[in-house]
Amino acid sequence: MSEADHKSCAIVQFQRQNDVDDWPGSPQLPGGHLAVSNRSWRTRWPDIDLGPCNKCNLCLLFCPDAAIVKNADGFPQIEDDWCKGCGICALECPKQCVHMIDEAQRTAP
Amino acid sequence: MSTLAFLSGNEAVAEGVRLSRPRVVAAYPITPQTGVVERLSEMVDDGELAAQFVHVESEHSALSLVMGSCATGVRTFTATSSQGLLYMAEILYYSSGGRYPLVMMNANRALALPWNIYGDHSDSLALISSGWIQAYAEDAQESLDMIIQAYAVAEDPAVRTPVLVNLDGFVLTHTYEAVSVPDQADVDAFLPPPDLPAGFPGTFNLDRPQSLGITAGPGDYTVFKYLQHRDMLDAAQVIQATGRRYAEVFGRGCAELIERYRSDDAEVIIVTLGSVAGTVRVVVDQLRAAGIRAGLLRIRYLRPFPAQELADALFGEQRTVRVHAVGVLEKDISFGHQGSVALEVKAALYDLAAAREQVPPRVVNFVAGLGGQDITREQIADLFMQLASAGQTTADGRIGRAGAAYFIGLEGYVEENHD
Repeated sequence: MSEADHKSCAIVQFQRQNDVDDWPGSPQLPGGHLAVSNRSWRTRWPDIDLGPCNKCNLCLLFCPDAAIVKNADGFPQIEDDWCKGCGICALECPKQCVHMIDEAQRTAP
Repeated sequence: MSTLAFLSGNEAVAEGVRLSRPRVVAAYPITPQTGVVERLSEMVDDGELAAQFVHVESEHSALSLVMGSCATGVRTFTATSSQGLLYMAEILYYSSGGRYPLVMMNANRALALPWNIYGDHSDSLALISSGWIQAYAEDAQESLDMIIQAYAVAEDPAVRTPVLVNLDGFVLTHTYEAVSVPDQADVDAFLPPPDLPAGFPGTFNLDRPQSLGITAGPGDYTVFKYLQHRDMLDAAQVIQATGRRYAEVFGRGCAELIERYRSDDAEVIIVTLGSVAGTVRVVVDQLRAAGIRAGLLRIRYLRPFPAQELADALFGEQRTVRVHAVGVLEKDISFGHQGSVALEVKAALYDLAAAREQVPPRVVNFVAGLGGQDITREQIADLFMQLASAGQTTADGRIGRAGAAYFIGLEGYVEENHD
């Protein structure tokens, strides 16, 4: 796995080889990568209403898991595998754009 | 070439650090470690050491800061003692699990309560399983030499494990000795700047950001811990090779994890570590002059535990007589069992005896020097005589014994001062 291959957020699992010598020498990964998804931690999802959003980026800066990225237009976007549903973004947003909604209802078939 | 200087153990460590050229030093002062970081701050102020000296608000922050600095590829140093080491406990495991090649000095000191600033080994032995290589110096010269070698060992790509260099509080940190200080050019040749394989900690920068503290589930976690353990065991060969290389360049020092002193033809042997080994050495010579076959095994590295070296010293083909009894003399008690070092020694001997279907010699645990209590030549001579006697120790059943541990100095202290 070269670092140049992973410029965007992604789940990168450790190599599961039979030989432990093929494992990484230490538990680090190139920036922007997770080994295990945080998705199952969540009971609430931050639903963003981009209408009042002025791209101040406070949600992105306050997020303890770096789960918020900017989309092509500079608006915040939640990364599904990163977000643990803590709700700090909803608390910090000065425009009240972020609303925590029930994860089970959101993902119900 | 080198220069001879009159240095305390703390100052000898500071000289060893200066010669190793760390770029970042962070520390929080605590007795009896303070002298090291005071001296290093003077060196930075005087321009003798080109490093950032960072003042931090706690030991937890000191170790966190050097770990973060190490992630960017620079050599670092910090030092602590006692309560400070325990306050670092979380980051000790963090940094060893992250495979950061850190070097730290610990001034061995008792743990509260009761409050006590004097030397014993309770602090470092409490953290023996934290994944750090643990070295114990006997004198100021070895302290300086161990620091320089510690960087070479920690940064070896096959080891990548932090090293804790331990000095007995006050007895070693504050005692002045003549110390040979190597020339910078010789140390530069012995210890070049760290060489960092791709992807390892130490390759972090703004162009190549890394996730430094990632999650690993149960199966993945086990593989990382297995590798940590395996590489720590294999570090023994690197420690020996580094010690031999150091001896070739600087002309001194023991390369083995256990130093043998008059032990190959000894019937009674004391196993110990740290500065008290110097006193035991003197007593061995006195008893030898009186015809008693006494010997010393000094544990220089407690992690990785030198089980094979211990076995070779006690049962190797070089032995001319059978070992009658072994005493483990240590400044520590694992409450409710025995001293931690005795447990290490006994476990290694049990494994060996079970494999060979042999009965190992009697091993007696002597706990002494707690909270800085003096360990005298007379006491050590008495321990050798107890080992030489056929039966159990003479303190059997009396006040100094609790379980399998014999507390030295307690009996006389109680009788003399509280009758």
